[in-house]
Amino acid sequence: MTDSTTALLERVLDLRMKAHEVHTSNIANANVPQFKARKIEFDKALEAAVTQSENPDTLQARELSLQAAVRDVESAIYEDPNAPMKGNGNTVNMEREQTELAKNTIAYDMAIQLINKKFAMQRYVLQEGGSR
Amino acid sequence: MDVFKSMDVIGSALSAERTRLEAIQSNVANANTVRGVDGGPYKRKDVVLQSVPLQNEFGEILDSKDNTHVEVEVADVVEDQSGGRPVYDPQHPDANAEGYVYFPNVNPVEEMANMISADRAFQTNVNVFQTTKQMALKALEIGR
Repeated sequence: MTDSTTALLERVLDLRMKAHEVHTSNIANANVPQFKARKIEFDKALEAAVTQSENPDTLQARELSLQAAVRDVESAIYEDPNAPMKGNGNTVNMEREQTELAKNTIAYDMAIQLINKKFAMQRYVLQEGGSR
Repeated sequence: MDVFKSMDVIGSALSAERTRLEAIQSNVANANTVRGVDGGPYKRKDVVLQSVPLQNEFGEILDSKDNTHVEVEVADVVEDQSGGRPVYDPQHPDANAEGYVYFPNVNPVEEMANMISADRAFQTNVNVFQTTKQMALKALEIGR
C-alpha cells in the first residue's frame, strides 16, 4: 500500500545517494591529472514528473500516475565541458564539490525525516489515534 | 550496497594521498643526500595518480551511464630526472674535478606546497567518509 508521497521520497533518497556518489568520486579524484569532474542533474525531471501527474481529475488516478511518473525519473550524469581546468587538466572544483555534498546530505536527511513522519502518521492511525 | 562502494572510492583516495605524502617525506628526508641508492645524488620521487572506473565482480567496467564511482590508483612512482643542485665544496669526498658536489634535485618549498595539498585532500576525504557514514546510519533509522 505504497502511496505517492512514500514513492516520491523513496526515489529522492535513491537519486540523492547517486548524487553523493558522484560528488564523492569527484573529491576523491581531485588530484588526478586529466580527470574530468562530473555533474548530476535530476531536479527538473523530478519536478516535471510531479507537475505532469497533477492533470488527472480523480484523486486515485492522480495518485497512480504520480507513483508511476516518479518511479521513472532518471538522473543525467555528464562531464561539464565548460568547467575551468587546472594546470594538470583536472576540472574538479573542490569548494563547489564540498558545498554540493553538504547541500545534498541535508536534502537526504530531510527526505528521511519526511519519510519517518509519514510512517509515524500511519502508525498513529493504526493505533486509532493512540487511544487505547 | 552503494554506500560501501562510495566508501571504497574514498578509501582509494586516502591511500593515494598517503602514498603522495610518503614520497614527499622521502624527498624532504633526503634533501641533502649526495649518495643515493644508485650512487649519484638522491633523485626526488613523484607519484603518478590515475582514475579507474569501478568494476563489477566479474572485472567488467560497468555501463558508463550508471557508473557513478571512479576510484583513484597509484599508477607509478617515478624519479625526477632533472639535474641536481651543484655546490662548490672542493674538500667534499664526492666533489668532481672542478670542485662541485651535486646535491639532490629536491626543492623544499615545492615539497612543502605538495605536502599541504596532499594533507588537505586527505582531510577532505576523511570528512566525506564521515558524511557518507552518517547518511548510511540515518537511512537505518527509517521507520524506527
